Amino acid sequence: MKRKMKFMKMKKFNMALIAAIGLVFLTVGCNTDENQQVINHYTNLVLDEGFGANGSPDSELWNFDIGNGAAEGIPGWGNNEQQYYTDRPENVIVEDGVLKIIARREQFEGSPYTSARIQTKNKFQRQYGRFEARIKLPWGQGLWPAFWMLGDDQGGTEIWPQIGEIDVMEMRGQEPTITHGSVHGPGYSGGNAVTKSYDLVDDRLDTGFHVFGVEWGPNFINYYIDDVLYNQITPEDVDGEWVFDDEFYIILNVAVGGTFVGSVGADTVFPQTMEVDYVRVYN
Amino acid sequence: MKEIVKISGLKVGFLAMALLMLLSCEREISDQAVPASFSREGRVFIDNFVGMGEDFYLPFADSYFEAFSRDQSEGFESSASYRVDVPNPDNASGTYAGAILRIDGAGRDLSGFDALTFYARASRGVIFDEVGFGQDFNSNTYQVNAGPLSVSTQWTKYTIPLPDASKLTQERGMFWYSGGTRDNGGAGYTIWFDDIQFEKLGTIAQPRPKIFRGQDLIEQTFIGSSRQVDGLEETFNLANGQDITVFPFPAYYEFSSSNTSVANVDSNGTISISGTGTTVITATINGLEAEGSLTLESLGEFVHAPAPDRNPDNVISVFSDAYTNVPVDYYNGFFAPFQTTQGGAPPLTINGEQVINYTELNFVGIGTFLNVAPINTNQMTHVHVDINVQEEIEPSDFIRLQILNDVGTDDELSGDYTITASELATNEWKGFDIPLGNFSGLTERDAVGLFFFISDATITNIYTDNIYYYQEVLDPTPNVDDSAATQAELPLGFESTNVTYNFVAFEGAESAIEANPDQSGLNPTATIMRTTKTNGAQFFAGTFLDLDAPIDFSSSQKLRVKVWSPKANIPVRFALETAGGGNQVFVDANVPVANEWVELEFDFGPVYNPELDYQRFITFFEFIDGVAGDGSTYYFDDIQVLND
Repeated sequence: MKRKMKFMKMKKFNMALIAAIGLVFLTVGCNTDENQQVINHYTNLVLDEGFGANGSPDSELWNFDIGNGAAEGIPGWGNNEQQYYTDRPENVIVEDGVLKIIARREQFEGSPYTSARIQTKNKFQRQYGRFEARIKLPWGQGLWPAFWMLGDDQGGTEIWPQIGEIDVMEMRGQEPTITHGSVHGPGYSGGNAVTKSYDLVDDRLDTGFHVFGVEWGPNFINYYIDDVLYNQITPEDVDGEWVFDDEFYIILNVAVGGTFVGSVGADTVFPQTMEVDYVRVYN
Repeated sequence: MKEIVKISGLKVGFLAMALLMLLSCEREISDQAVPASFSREGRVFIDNFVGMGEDFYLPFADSYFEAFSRDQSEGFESSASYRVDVPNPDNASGTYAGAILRIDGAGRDLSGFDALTFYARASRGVIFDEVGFGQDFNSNTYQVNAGPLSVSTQWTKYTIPLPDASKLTQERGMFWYSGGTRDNGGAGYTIWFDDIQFEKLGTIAQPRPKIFRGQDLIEQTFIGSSRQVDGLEETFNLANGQDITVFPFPAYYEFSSSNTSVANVDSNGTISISGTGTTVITATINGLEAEGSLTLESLGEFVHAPAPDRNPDNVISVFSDAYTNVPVDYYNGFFAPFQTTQGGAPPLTINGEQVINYTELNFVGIGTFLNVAPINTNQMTHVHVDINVQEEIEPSDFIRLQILNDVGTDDELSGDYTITASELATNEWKGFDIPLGNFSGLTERDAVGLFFFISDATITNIYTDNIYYYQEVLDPTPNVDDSAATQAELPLGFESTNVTYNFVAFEGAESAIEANPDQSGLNPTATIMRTTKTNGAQFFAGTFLDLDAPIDFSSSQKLRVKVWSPKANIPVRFALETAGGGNQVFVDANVPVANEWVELEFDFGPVYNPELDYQRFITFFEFIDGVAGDGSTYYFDDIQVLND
C-alpha cells in the first residue's frame, strides 16, 4: 500500500482576544512562519518494513548495537545514557506485526537499565527520499525514544558530526505531547543542532500511533508528524557545511536517562515500550 | 473596567455592551448539537457562574459559611473570580472553608469531557486540602477527590482527570473544595479559583487505577463479616508529563470476587462474607484492571466472645456491643515508627457484632485523650477484656495490658498487668477480669487516655472484644461474729475476748484492736483493727497479723475485708505469707469511697500457691511508691474467705 501525502497547511495558532467596553478588538496570533507548503517529491516505495515475522527483527535489514557505548569509545553513547543495549527478546522483539523496543529497569552488565537499538548500516542506506515510521512511544521522565539516521562514514574516514545526523523523531518521556526534529552537522551538533519541536497540544505520542517522517532532498529536509508538516531545514538554516548529500541509514532506539532527558524519575513506570508498526522509505 | 476572556477550544458567541467576535485558531473540537437529555455545558465558573441555577452554593455544615464571595477585582486573565477566604482555626463560625457547587436543576452530561480544570492562586503559598467533583450531598455516587494541592501566589492551571466520563451522564456536583489551615501554619488565607470547567483535553493518559493502594493483601475472615474495598485511587499522566492521583468513589469501579460462594462485593465496594473458603477480590475501572487485590480466607462461622452481663450502671465500656461505648480517638494509634500492629481501624463487623482483630501485633493502643474525654475510672474496680489468640502459643508468650493516665501531660503515669501464656488459648476466647489495683504503677486513674496491648510480637494475631471497666458490686458478706473463737483464724471479726492476736505494725505504722468508731453501714460490729500511717512512715508501712491456723482456700480463694478509709481512691494491698513470714503473695484493691465502711475483695486465685499454708496476713493502706505516711488512720474488719 502506498501512502499518499497530502499537501498541508499549518493550523497552529495562539489566540488571545482582548475586548474593551465599547470597542471591538480582534487579535489573532498565527505563526505564519510555519505556514508552508511542500510538494511530495517521493512516491516510489523502496523499503516497506512491516515487521511481518514474529521474533527477532529481520537480520537481512537490521543490525543490533550492543552495550553501553564503551566498546565504541563513547560510554553512555556520548550522552550519559544509562541503558545497556541488548539483542535479547526482553528488549527487542517483533510480535503481531509490531516491533517492540522495551526499556527495563534491571541491573545488567553494570548498567541500571536495559533497552535496544537497531540500525540498517550497510544493509539499507539511501540518499534522499521520504523516510517515515508509524510509532507509538513510551512515556515517563527519563525515557528517550528516537527514530533517526546517520550518514555513511565513508569506510571510517569520516566521523560524527561530519557524517551528518537527521533526527526524524526524538521525544522526552516527560513531554508526552512533543516531538523534536533535528539535524546535526559540522558546526551545528549536540546542543547546537538545528531543531524544531512540535506540540500536539490536544493529543499525545504515547497513547496511539503517529507517523513521523522526513522528506529529504537536495538542499532541504522537511519534517512532518501525521499530516502536519512542521519544519523545513535548508542549507540556509545551518551554521556550517550541509552534509546531507550521501547515503544515510536508519536507527530505532529507546535510551534511558542522559543529557537530553535527564535522570529517570522516582515515579517513572517500567518497562516502557516503543512500538513500531512500520518503517517505509520512498524515493 | 476591562474584561479579558480566555476561550480555548470552543466557539462561543458572547454579547457584552458590544459585539464581540471570537475566532479560535486552535484545532477545533466538534461542538455539533447532539440531541441529549442533559446539558453538555462544561463551564462551571468563568468569571461568573455558568448555568448553575440559583441555589447552588452549599457549604459544609461545620465550615465557615461566609468564606465564599465573587471577587470583582481579581481573576485569571480577568477581573472576576471565585474567592474563598479560609478562616483562622479559632473562627467561632467555622474553622475551615468547604462547599459543593451543585447545579440547581437537572444534571449535566459530562461524558464528552476528560478532565475538570481550573486556575487557582492564593494570597500566600498554601497547601489546599482537597478539591473534586461529583459530590452532591445526596448519594455522592460519582464523587472524585483530589489533593492536597500546592497553590502559589501565581495563577496556575490544575487538571483533575475524570476516571470514567461515561458514568457522568447526569451529574449535578460540579465542583467541591475543602481547605483549612492545618498544613498552613494555622493562619487563614485567601484562595481564588477561576475558569472552573470540564474540558476535553485529549492528553489525559496512562491511567493506573488501584484498590487497596495497589497492595496485594491477604486476610483471614469469617462468615458474616464484611469489609470495605479501600485505598481506591487512580493515577494519570498529564500533558506536562506530571502524574496526578485522584480518589474515585466505588461506583467508578467494577468489583469482582473470584469465588462468589465465599464472598460478594456490592457496588459500594462492600465485601460480604457468606461462605467458607478462599476468594480473591479484584476490580476494574473503565475496563482497566486495577492494581491491588485482597485474598480472603474465610474460616467459616465466627464464635463471638460470651456476651457480658454486668449491669450497665456499673460499667464504662471502651469496646463492647453489650454496652454504650465511650467515644474513643481510635482503636489503633499506629504509633510510628516502632508499631507494626494492623487492625482495629475500624473494628470488624461479623454477623452484626463488632470485634477487633489485631494482626502483626507488637503493641497497639486504644486512645481516649486526643479529641475525646479521658476516662475517669476512679469508681471502677476492674477492667475486663476478652482475648482469642489466633496462633500457637509458646510458653514464653505474653500479652501485657498497660493503662496510661494523664496522657501527654507532666502527670502522665502508667500501670501494667501481664497475662501469661498459660492463661491464653489458641482459637478460644479467654475472659480476664483484672482488678485495677493489679496494674502496678497505676496510682492515678482519673483520666485514662490509653489502653495498650503489648506482646513484643510474641503473639501477633488476636481477636479482642468486650474491653470495659467496671465496678464490682459486692453483695456484702455477713458481719463476722467470732465472739466465741478461741484462736486467731478466719473468719476474723476481732469480737472474741478469748484470743490473743499476734500482730506487728512496721515501718512507721501503728496499730491496735479497738472499738469501732463508726458502727454504721456495712459494719455495726463492736470491735475492729486500726492502722495509722504516722507522719513520715514508709509508703510500705503496714501491719501483719499471725493466724493460729492456715487459711482454708480449698473452696474459694477470694478474701473479703471490710475497710474504712479517710481517703477515697487509694490502693490497699492485702498480702499473705506462710507461718513466720515469707512466700508473700498479694492483691491490690481500690477504696472507692471515703469515711464509710466498704467491702473489698482480694482474689488470690491467680497468685496463691496451693501447696503452701498461708498463716499471716499483712495490710498496707495507700500503698503508693514514694508517698510517705501522713498520719491518716484506717480501719479494717471481717476478714473472711468468700463462700461461693
